[in-house]
Amino acid sequence: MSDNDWADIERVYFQALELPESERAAFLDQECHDQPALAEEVRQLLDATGDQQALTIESELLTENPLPQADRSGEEVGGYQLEERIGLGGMGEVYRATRVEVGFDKPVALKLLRPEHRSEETIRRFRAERHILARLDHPAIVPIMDGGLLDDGQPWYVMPLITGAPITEFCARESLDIRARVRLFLRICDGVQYAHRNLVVHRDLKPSNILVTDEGAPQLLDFGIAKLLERGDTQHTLAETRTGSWLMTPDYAAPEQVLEKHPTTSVDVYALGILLYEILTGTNPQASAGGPRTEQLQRICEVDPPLASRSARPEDVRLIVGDLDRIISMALRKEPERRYASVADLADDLRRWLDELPVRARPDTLRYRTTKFVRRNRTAVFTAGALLVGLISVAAFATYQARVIATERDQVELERDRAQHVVNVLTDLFRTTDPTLNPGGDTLRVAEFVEQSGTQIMEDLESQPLIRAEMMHVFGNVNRNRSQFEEAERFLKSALDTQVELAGWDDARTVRFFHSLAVLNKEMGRPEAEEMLRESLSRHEARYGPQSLQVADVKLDMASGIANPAGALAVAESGLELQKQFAPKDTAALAAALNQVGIQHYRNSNYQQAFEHFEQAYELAVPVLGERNQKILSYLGNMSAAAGQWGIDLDRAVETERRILEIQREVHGPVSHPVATNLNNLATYLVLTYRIEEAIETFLDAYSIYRQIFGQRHPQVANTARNLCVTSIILTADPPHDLVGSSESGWSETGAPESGASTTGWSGTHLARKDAAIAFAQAWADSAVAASRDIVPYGPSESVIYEMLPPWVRIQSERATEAIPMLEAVLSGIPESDSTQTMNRYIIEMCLAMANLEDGRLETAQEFFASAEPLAQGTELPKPSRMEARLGQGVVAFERGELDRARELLEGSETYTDWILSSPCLRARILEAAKGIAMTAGS
Amino acid sequence: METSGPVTQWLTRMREGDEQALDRLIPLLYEDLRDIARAHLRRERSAHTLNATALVNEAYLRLSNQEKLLPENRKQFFLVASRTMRRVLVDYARARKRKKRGSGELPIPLEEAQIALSESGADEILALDEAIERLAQKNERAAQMVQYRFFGGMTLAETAELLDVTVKTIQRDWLLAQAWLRKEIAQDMGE
Repeated sequence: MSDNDWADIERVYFQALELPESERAAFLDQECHDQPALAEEVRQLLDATGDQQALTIESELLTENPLPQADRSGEEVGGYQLEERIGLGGMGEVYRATRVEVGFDKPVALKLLRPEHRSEETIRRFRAERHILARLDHPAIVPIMDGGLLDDGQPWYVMPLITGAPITEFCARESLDIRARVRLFLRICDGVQYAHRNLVVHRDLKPSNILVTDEGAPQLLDFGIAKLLERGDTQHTLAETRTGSWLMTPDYAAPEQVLEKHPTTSVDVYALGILLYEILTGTNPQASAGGPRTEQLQRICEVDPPLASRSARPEDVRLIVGDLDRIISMALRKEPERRYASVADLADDLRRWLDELPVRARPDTLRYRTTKFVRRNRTAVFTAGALLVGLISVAAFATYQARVIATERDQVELERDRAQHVVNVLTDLFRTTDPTLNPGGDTLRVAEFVEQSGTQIMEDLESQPLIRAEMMHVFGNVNRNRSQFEEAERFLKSALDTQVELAGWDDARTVRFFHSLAVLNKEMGRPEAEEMLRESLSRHEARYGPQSLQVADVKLDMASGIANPAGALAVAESGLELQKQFAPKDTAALAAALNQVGIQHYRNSNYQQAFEHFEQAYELAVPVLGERNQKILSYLGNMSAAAGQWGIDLDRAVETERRILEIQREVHGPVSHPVATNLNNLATYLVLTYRIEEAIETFLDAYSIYRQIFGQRHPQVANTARNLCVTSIILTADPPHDLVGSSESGWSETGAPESGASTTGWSGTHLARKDAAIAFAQAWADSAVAASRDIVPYGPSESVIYEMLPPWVRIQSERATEAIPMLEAVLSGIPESDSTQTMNRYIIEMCLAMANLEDGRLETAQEFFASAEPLAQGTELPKPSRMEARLGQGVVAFERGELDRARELLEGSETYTDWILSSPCLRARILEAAKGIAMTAGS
Repeated sequence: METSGPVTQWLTRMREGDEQALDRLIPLLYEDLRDIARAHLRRERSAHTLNATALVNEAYLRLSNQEKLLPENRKQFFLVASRTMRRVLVDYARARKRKKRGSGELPIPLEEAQIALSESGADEILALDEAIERLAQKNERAAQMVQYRFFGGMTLAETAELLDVTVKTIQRDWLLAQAWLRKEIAQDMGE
């Protein structure tokens, strides 16, 4: 710190500050020629003055919010005795009060507005407004009974004392379902609408102003009060707002309020939109996430909140997706003129939703999109298309299949652990709690038992830490099999810590415990799992030698945790070889090893080899394990998965999955990892057999279970979100002709029986349905990207598949222009030399080709189709998919009028396009072109 | 006369010039403020800042439920509250630093300190605390003002009221004090 005198600093600083910046240096030299230290300090101060981002704590701690006033309980105001202060906020204070006059002992609420608002203008306006407010007479509006000004001009008013809970709390407390929440909300709309008809705008609607009585009647408080608080002058600017002269919470403010434009009824429509969002999802989409208030205000003006269905509880997603999403979005448009024109319109749409009629809210570009769609479909023929979607499903598929078997392997390991166990008796006791070993047992009661006795036994074994560690290891693995990952991790870590401390890293158990923890990490989808598994392998190799049964086990366990599919296959195959060498008679273990190798073939898209391995595993193990065994079921499931990739016997695959699902539910309970995995598999077969609506329902069920088990960010969650995205896009396509009838009827009957309401998002005309499907796909694409970010265990090649989803959806929904830069960014992230990414490169180039085609850039589209074509040959795609790039070039030729070339390229297109899955927009173009050519040939 | 609790009595003595009063009041409020801060952090998991205004407001309401606060003691209350809040925050910041160095016992659970303060925030709070001490030697009123603003969550207007000067004066003082603190803290953290 310098020794300069504060008074000197102050004097020179303010003098310099008034000068233009260019003159300050000269001024300081002259003013402080004998005090260079002073000149230096002031120079630094001047530098610091403009530096708004200087300190983090300035944005974290500084505030312009007002402080509470002194409590005036006990005083008398306008003939009312203030009894107790019951509220305190930015606008003022609320007291419980009673009329002093005898005979009026019913308590009322008296509000004192903040004294800052005393001004001639406020006082004048207050008097005028009070008359208007007093006229409001509606059951949902709390009337102003009395009011006036204190001697010093501070306004006060009186209203009935309402006992009730803010609407958000009420809905949560009463556990209202979505429809009941909408009905309650409509009663609020009625009140607001009534006030609007009487030319009163609320301007500050928020849960604390909307109380619901115990009888369930909503009561709107503070109508018109916000207007009273407005300053008389019109001088206040945006900057002032941002520093906080604005007293209302921005959590419900419309953009035009933030920008201080003249507020109209549109601000109430907006606030109601936020409120509806919040009561349906429990989340306020524009609440501050912390950080400077200016950021929040900027977001309100610039950033669209996520669709309500994306913030909804899993069980509510189905009801909100589609119509309610659209209704809320329409209320929350940034520009007031594009919102619902009135609260009445908003309420009307909600009533239509309740009555299951088509709603009026529409995504922005509908008219444009509709015309285009109709034009294109004039020539539509219901054959089929090529297979971009199929590719994505394939890649997604391998992931979950791999995981099923990982669990299977762990169970084998767990059983072996037990056999060797020092505490066999105790272990056997706990075996009963493992759902995979005790199917049909009362798992709930047993789980309770584990939790209670677990603690007890841990205490009893305090003096025998090594045995205790063994037990912890058992508990950990049991919990892992019950999908209780946090518990499992706690036990396994604790077991390992004790073991390392007492026995060191050379001990066999230490190595085994470490391996269990690595496998757990793999199951939890943690990115560090691969590293841990590799470490486990080298520890086992060091201890048992690279040629050993123990190493075989580790290798088979770790394969599914290795990012590179080819590398994973090599590891699994080497594990299988060791298994054959050291334990050829252990049939069950050998079958598990074969199965694991099959999975790795599957990940490498060698479906035929995959199928053969699964089949061998099945044949080998059936005589030993019996038909209803868990492992047998999963080998069967894998066989149908591999078969399904080639479109073989899909109906049988569906049936098999249903059977497996039934047993899994019995064994593991309805909310469990294996059940979710089966739902996911089942849904995929439903897609392949074009039972799309049922597939979506099934995926949603799987998603909801994964969310409950894994939380928001997990490979399985991401994967299921991706499947939902891809599947819903299929809905935008016209169904193959032979399925039209059945699909339409299945569609309209699809509902959610347990919720007592049909999924109205899917009802209505084909156009509305297409729209809903696109909004749905878009939401799930974003959700998949968010869920997969940084956690996808299979490295960059997998993450590309997520990143390309949002642009891909845009191509399908006439927004190709937006998609192009997104795709280019993804493409530029793939190294040219990375041969493991050929498939990804192919997919993205195809997307770019389609986007450019949609965008009318035929030249560029042609280039991408041409460069994608040879890439497809290097993949193991089915032939119709490999033909896609060629057919695309045919479309380009047709569009250019090069009919001969088009005819040549599109020749036989009907064979290839007779495929169920497709990229709908490309399929439509191919059909259009083929038809056009046929017509020219005919003429 | 109304019943007046210990805080009120000490506030009155402080107003009357008792120099020990501040030292007696801080411990009385400290636990309160810390409890409130904890409750806030629990309620708003996502919040990564301590909202000093909200905390001080809540402390005020809580206290006025417990004992009758005299209106003439209001100023003293906010002075003490911001002083106490300063201590709470400095303790949080220290806890956070200690945690980083991995040493033993903590007065405040780690995760709370972590949520409450950003990484750079913790360093800055400690630097700010020291800078305010230095500022007090140069200009007592400026140091008071800084304390109200940063730790009491007060606006310029309220600070002016509490210090009995015009808003214009406070705006001027604030401009200079803010620049001075930025400079001092930058130098501190640069070292």
